Amino acid sequence: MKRRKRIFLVILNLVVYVFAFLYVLPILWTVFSSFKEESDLFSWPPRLVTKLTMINYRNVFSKTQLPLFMRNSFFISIFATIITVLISIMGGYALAKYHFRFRGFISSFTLSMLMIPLQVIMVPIYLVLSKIGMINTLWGLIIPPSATPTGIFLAQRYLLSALPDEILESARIDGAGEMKIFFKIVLPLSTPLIAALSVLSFTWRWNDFLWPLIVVGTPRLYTVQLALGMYAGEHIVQWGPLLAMTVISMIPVLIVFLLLQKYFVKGIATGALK
Amino acid sequence: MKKQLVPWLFLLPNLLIFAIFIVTPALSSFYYSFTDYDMLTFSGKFVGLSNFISLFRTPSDFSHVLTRTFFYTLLVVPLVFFSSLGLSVITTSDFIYGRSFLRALFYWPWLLSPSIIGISWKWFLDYDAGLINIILIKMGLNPISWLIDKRLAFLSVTLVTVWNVAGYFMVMFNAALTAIPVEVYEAASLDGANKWTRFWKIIFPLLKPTSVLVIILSTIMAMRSFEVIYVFTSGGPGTSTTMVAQKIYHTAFMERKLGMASAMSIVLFLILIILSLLQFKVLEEKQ
Repeated sequence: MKRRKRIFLVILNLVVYVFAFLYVLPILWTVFSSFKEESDLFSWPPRLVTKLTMINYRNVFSKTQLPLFMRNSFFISIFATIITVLISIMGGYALAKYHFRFRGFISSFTLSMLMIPLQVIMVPIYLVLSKIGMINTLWGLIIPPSATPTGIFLAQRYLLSALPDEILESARIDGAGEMKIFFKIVLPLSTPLIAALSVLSFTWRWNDFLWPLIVVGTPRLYTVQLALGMYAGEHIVQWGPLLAMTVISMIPVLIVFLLLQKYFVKGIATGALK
Repeated sequence: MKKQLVPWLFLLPNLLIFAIFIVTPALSSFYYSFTDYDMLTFSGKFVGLSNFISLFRTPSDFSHVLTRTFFYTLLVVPLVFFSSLGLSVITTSDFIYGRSFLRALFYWPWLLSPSIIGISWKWFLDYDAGLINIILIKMGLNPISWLIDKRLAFLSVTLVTVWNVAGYFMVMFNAALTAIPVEVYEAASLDGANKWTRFWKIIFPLLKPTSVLVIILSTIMAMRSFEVIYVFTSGGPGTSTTMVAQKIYHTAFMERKLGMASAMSIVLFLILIILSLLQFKVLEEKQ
């Protein structure tokens, strides 16, 4: 009886792991193929195992503008993340720790911004951006999506429970100004919040596709993701360099995820928002 | 007196960005939908309801796209529901080794960008060099034209969407499943019935609030689908995988008919608003 159960468990685990392997196979196949020579990608008859080389990776740097796209992506993601983290905590702090008229209204107003996704306002947003001269600019890429209801909500939730009113009160009695309190007390006490928001924001911005698609028309300002989408849509796709570029573009988010995995899960469990 | 001002200063950057880049566009979207604004002249005149009338005069392109999007959503939602529940049961079950590894693995597709997902699947299903067709050829069978045949392309898009989001909803189910007290599981195992019935009769009803949320959120996601499909199939072959959001994009930025595109946006907008209101209601009840 016991032995039969053990055999059953081994088989069950085997089945699950085969399924898990198949689940990520499309990505593994992309990674594997990116190391094949261009001539092997479409060889006939097809071969599964071929000589592996780094040629696509060398080509992607010499034949495409990947370094430029990477620089754009890093610049946008990092600056947007800094802004998002800062203004989310500012907003969340105001909603969590101050009593003022319309607080409830502002709180619901912020959340209601979630109900208006980019997909339905991309046309008028384009017009707004072009009126204020933000089309085809880095600031157009960075600023507008940097305010996020999810960020403010997470900050509000965190500060409500993790920042006792007594600390703020005693700082005020000692004569500290409101700005000083924010930068010297609130921000330093928010390290886990800053980590969680940074992870989320960096991932959103690094992976973003629709926003750059609307804002950017010139290849000079392409992010890695936008460049990938544009290359993939071309009539004759250069698969070798494209696959290498795809693999390279996965690495930053993968590193961030592996280092800070627990903050991701926290973000989802609290919110169910984004 | 001055102190009343401080919270507003803290809120200012967010409120300013929301006002300029969300509220203003959302409101002007209503206005544009009643005009024949176009992007060549950046001007237009008031045309009343005529945009909406031509959208719903059947058969129009838009009513086809809208019907397709509904049908796609109708397929995606139950598939997402049962696959994420299934993944969740696997990754919380005592009988499986390396659960946290599996959790990260199934969550992975949610972390990938639309471009990566689109390109990887396009490559995986490629007629000449995709892995599936290579295996079929090795087995002496004919390769399948996944992204050339209209029906197969639609099916592929549906499955890729499910694959993309299942890990996200798995995490939500995991939170609900691990919150169920051990006594409930014990009580369930004392009962004579087999595991399958026990799960559906005892555990599953306890997941109801999460289930409702998963259904609403996945409906919203499906109705908004754009980016992954845009890279994966570009909405083709023909328009067989074009959904509403992409149709709006195309009408505005390729055909340059902003008035018409705004009218389409309003239709999608109303559908999504109703779903979002349901979502907030469920979240409120949950708390």
